[in-house]
Amino acid sequence: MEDRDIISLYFDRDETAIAETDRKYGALCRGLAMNILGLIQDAEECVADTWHRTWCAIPPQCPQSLRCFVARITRNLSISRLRHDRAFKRGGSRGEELLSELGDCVSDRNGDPVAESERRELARSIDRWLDTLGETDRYVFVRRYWYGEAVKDIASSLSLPRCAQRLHRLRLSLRAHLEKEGFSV
Amino acid sequence: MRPDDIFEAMSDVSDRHIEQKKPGRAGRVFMRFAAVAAALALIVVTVLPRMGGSAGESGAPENAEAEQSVPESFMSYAGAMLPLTALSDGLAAERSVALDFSAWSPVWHSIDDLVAELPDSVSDAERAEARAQYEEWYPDGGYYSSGTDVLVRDSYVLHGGDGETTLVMPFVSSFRYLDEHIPTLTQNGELLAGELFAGDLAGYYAGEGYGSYDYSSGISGWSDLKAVLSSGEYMRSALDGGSAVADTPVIVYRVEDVSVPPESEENLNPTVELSFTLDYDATTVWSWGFNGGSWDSENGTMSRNFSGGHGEGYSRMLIVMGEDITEPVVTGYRTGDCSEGNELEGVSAKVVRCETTLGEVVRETMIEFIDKSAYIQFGENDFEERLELICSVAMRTLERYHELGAYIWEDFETVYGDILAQNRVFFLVCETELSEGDTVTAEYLKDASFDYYCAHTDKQGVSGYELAVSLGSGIEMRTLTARLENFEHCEIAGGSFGFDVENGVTEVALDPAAEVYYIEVRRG
Repeated sequence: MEDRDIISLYFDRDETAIAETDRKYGALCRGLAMNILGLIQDAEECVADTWHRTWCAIPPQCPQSLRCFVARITRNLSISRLRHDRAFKRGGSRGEELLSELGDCVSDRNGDPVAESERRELARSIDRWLDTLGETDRYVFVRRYWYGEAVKDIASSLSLPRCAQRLHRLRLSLRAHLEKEGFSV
Repeated sequence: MRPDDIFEAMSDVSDRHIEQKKPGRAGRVFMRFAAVAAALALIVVTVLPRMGGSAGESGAPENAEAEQSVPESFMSYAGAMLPLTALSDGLAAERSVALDFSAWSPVWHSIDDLVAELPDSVSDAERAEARAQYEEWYPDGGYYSSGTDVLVRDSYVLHGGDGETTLVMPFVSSFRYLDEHIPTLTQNGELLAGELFAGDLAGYYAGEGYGSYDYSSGISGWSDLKAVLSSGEYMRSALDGGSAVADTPVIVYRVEDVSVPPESEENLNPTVELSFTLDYDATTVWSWGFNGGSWDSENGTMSRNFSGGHGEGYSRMLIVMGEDITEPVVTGYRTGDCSEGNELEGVSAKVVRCETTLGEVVRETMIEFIDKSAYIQFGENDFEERLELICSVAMRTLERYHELGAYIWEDFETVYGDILAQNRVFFLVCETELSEGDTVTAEYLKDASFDYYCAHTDKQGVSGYELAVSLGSGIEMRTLTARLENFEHCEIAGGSFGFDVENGVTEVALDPAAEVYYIEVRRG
């Protein structure tokens, strides 16, 4: 079913919208949540919450890309769960790996958190930086730090040698970009 | 800002980035691009020296921008030929590099030679049997062999360095093949004595720690070399050696007097487990001589186990960095499945706690590792010196793991294997008195980068060599020339030097401001 048809179901308050969304994007969202949380139970809960949030959000919202819309909700829910887990010292997940690597982008891993108002600006800045990258670099970075895919899987899917080193260079590049744009990294 | 902020802000990047389609097969596209770039570079560089004068004439090509990049497509990367450097400023050099391909010349090995090379301990009957085997294998009476190493003579006429100077010659190798690659450094033809230092693995240096699948990576491409050598930090760390961390206190729990019931149908593999508790945020636990284990960071417990009926004569220990663990509890199991219900009576072991230093425990275990593994062999004369070098790298590596602050499931054996096998940059350091115009030459065998034969890539049968112009060097390169020697058994498959052997251009002037040149060669 096309996205616009599924969104119409939401607008019609037809509950088959959720089943259709799950059929089309369930695997994507489960994989994304698993990549960040590493536990199937937690991932399932995040995906179930995603469908609930989506049901509540559409209408009034009418996303241009349903795929991005639900994946973004899943990602945010997974990060919230990850934050909760970390608070209770439940370490060792894939999300911890990602955060550990992203430590290269900042000088002090325990620095002051960015204010909520600044976070959107940070996202825009990352957007601009992504625009400066070549197609492969951009894809690799997004697959790793947006979707949380394993480095070896990304490398394998692209037949890309030295993917970890590529990511390392990209992290350093992002750090330099953020510094240049005035963020205190 | 924290890593979390970036991770969370990523959620709000544009849909176009989230929805980006998978690029075409990046590796292949890159290789094709590299091939085109190589061809263009070849054209540009072969023409330019002729425009500026005859080949071999000193002076840089007018435009060397096209030669800046190298294809990073070889599966096995041997590293570039690196430039000489000095620990003091103010040196300048006219550099000339000769690449001698005489090792590519075929050498005939007759069956007689092969039989004669058999050790004296081989009996006449065995010798006859071997000869018969050779005759079956080599009906022509022998075979030709040839190598792909290049003998490099990298010479520098130095200026501005009157007085005592420390020269440093970096080169890429692994501990395993170190003897084959150590340069000989001469000054005006006189041999310079030098001391060897070893850099860390590229992955460790780059901070690719916990969570990175190639945390133990060596140097696998030009960009890795650039990453480790550009800032000088890698070399400084190598020259500092491991002394800074040798005194790091560690706690060792030695397992002694192990006794297990004999193996039987019921007790297939009597296993000894040591279980203990620890603070995962403050402690790193390494094992030596263990086979497996489990961990539970939520409950702060960990266990390590080994097969009690095997490995007699091996020492076994837990090495604790950071805060101490609780006294390990010994439990026996019927098999390696150390779970409840599988316990085995009659297993005992004494656990002895002692406080020591990282330097002591690394030295003890490294000697045992080298002794019992086939990774590396030393001559008796340089055993102590080489051991000290390896241990200094091992200590830095282990300390770095601990510094990363994340728990890593590792044993010393795995780390030691990586340390000995992976490529890294070594530094040959020579103290000398320099006079104006002295010539310093580094001579060494450089192995080739290549693609594995069975991979059937378009680089099959091609050997690659890179020349770093000034990477990591504090010496100002005023001029740079390169020359091919004994190239009759080779042909150029690609590159950026600008050699044109068919037209007699075997010596070229290069741009000393360029980053790197490369040449790809196949058997001609």
